[in-house]
Order: sequence, then structure tokens, then C-alpha cells
Amino acid sequence: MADASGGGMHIDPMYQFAIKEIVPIHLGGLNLSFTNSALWSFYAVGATILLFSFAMRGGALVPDRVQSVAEGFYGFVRNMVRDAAGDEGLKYFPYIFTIFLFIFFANMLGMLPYSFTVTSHLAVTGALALAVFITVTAIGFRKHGTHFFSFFVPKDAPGWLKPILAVIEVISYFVRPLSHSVRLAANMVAGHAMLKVFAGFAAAMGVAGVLPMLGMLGVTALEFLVCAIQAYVFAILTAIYLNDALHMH
Amino acid sequence: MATPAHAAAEQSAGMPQLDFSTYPAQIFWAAVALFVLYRYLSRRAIPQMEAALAARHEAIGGSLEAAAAARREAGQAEADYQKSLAEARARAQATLAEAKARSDAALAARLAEADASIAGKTAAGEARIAGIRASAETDVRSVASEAAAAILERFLPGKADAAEVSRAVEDGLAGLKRS
Repeated sequence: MADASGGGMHIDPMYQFAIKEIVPIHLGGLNLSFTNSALWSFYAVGATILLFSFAMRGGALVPDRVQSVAEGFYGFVRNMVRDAAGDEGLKYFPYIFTIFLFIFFANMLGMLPYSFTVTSHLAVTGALALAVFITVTAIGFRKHGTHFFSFFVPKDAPGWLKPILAVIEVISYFVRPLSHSVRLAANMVAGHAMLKVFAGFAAAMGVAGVLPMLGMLGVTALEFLVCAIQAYVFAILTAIYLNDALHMH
Repeated sequence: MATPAHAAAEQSAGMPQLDFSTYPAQIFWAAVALFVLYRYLSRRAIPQMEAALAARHEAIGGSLEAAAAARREAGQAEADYQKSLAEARARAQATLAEAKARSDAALAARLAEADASIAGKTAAGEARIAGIRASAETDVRSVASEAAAAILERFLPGKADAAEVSRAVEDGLAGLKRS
């Protein structure tokens, strides 16, 4: 960032995250322009729909490769939800499946050169995490009524400790959406920015740039892993929060 | 919000993530995209997936059931086979025993018949032998009496008494038989 004013070879690792308007739309005072973020959101959705509609075109008894992939996604997330939130949680499986696939494909498409990573923005991950937080809290109150407040009071703690623990529990509960969203966005930003920095080294070092190139090869592979793992982490945390709301502790 | 069309170059020094003016647009379009994805998944992809998995589950279950039925059938056939084998063996044993009994009986009957016929023939032979002996004895007696009478007639003519001679011959024959 120090050499932001430099020209020519200068590479800004944050430039890839810039929001660019494609179709300006203003409703009242609100800027709802169709941006590159929106475009890549729809690319992620389109990729998911493409995969699933192509995979399930026959609904074959013996799946081919594409169908196996789609069924793998389905079985993986479904088992995850059932393991984390029980059979009762399966009612919310479509929501969690949607979140998982959206994040997974947004992350993966973000690995393409010149693409945009939707999930690298706190606006999107924060909105997702807040939506999960509000929904899960609402489920908890609808299922348990005011009894849900006892979620914040550990049953086995000694009486004098209960108020302190309750405060801690409430704080940790409300920090959930923050950690939930920052974890995903920060992982995406850090990984992609690091790739860009390495690429800058490679460009600047000439022939010796082979070394950072090799490093990038490994980091890119690692970044693909992170993309998948962060989608999984976001989804399983959603399922765990759901389990807390459904079954308390 | 004062400059809606913010070029990227203008904010290259900062983190685009912290430009709150872009938040509404990002959140709005992400929500639209998520809604589209949710509708597609819940209306089409998941039901299709469930149908395919249920069909597979059913097919596998059906195949397993068919295999179990086939196995039961095979077991039944095996039992039937064993049973009919045992029956056939028993029948064969019975037939064999019956045939043996019949042949034994026939043999015994033939033996008894043969014994009877042999006994009859023996008895007839013995009777004939007895008859021949009796007739021979009678012939010997009469020949001896006649011979003795003839001899006496030669040496003492008119003195031979037939009854006396025959008694003497009897005595002589008895003496012969005794010695």
C-alpha cells in the first residue's frame, strides 16, 4: 500500500477486490447497482444450477461421474446437517445446502484469473452470517419460547457464578455472526491477496521469479483447499448454531 | 454516496471491503442470487436427488430381497431333493426286501416240494424193495420146500409129508437168518 502511487509494474493486491458497477441502478437514495459482485454471485448460482441440472438430467440408477459429484455434494451436506443438528435439523437442510453451494462455488470461481470473489467481502458474508444468526435465534424462540433464555445460563454452574457466566454466554452468542462472517471473508482476502503478492514478486524478480512461481503453485493448491474448507466451515457452523437453537445444550 | 460511480483507481489505497457505500448493492444482489439458488435447489434439485436416491435404494433393496428369495428357493429345492432321495432309497429298500422275501418263499416252497417228491419216491422205492424182498422170500421158501420134497421123494418115495417138509424148511431158513 506504501507504493500506491507508483506506476508501471506496480501491482495492488487489493485491486482484485474492487467493486465495479456494470449497470448503475439507484432506487431513492439507495445504490443497488448491478456490480461485478452481483455478476459473480450469479455466475456461482449458474454454475451450481448447471452442475445439478446436468447431473440429474437422467436421474440414473447407476450415476455417471457428474451425477456422482452432485450426489456427493448432497450426501456430504446432508450427513453434516444430520450429524450436527439431528433429524430435526434436516428440515432446514435446503437452506444450509443453498448457503454451502453458494459459498463453495463463489470461492472456487474466485480462483479464476481476473475473476471476482464474492465471498471476500464482509458485506456478503456478514449478511449471510446475520441472516443465519437471526433465523436460528428465531427458531430457538419459536421452539422453546422464553425458555430459550436459559440457553445462556449454564445449568451445572454454582449459583454465584451464574450471572457472570450468563454475561459471557450472551456476549459469545452475539459475537457469533461476527466470527462467522469475518472467518470466511478474511480467509478469502488473505489467500487471494497473498497470491497476488507472490505474483508481483514473480514479475519483479525476472528469471529468479521461478522461485515465487513455484511457491505460488503450492499456495494455489492450498488456496483451493481453503476455498472448500471455508465453505464447509461456514455450513457446519450454521448447522451447529441450528442444533443449539433446536436442542439447546 | 456522494460519488456513486466510484472508480476502482480512486480507492486503490484502501480496502474495498470497508467501502460501505457498496454494501446495499452487494447484499441486495447476493440475496437475489441466493433466493434463485434456493428456489432451484428446493424445487428441483433436491426432489430429483431424493427421487433418484430412493429409486436406487429401492432397486438395491429389491435385488437383495430377490437374492434372499432365490436362496430360500434353493434351500427348499435342496430339502425337496434330499427328501425325494430318501423316499426313493426307502422304496428301493422295500422293493428289495419284498423281492428277497418272495424269492425266499419261492425257494422254500420249491425245496419243500422237492423234499416231498423225494420222500414220496423214497417211500415208493422202499415199498417196492419190501415187496420184492417179500416175494423173493416167498419164492425162496416155496422153491426150497419143493426142492426138499423132491429130494425126499427120490430117497424115500411116498414118505414125504408136505407140512413136515415146509416146517423143516422154515426152521432151516430161520437158522440161516439167525446165523
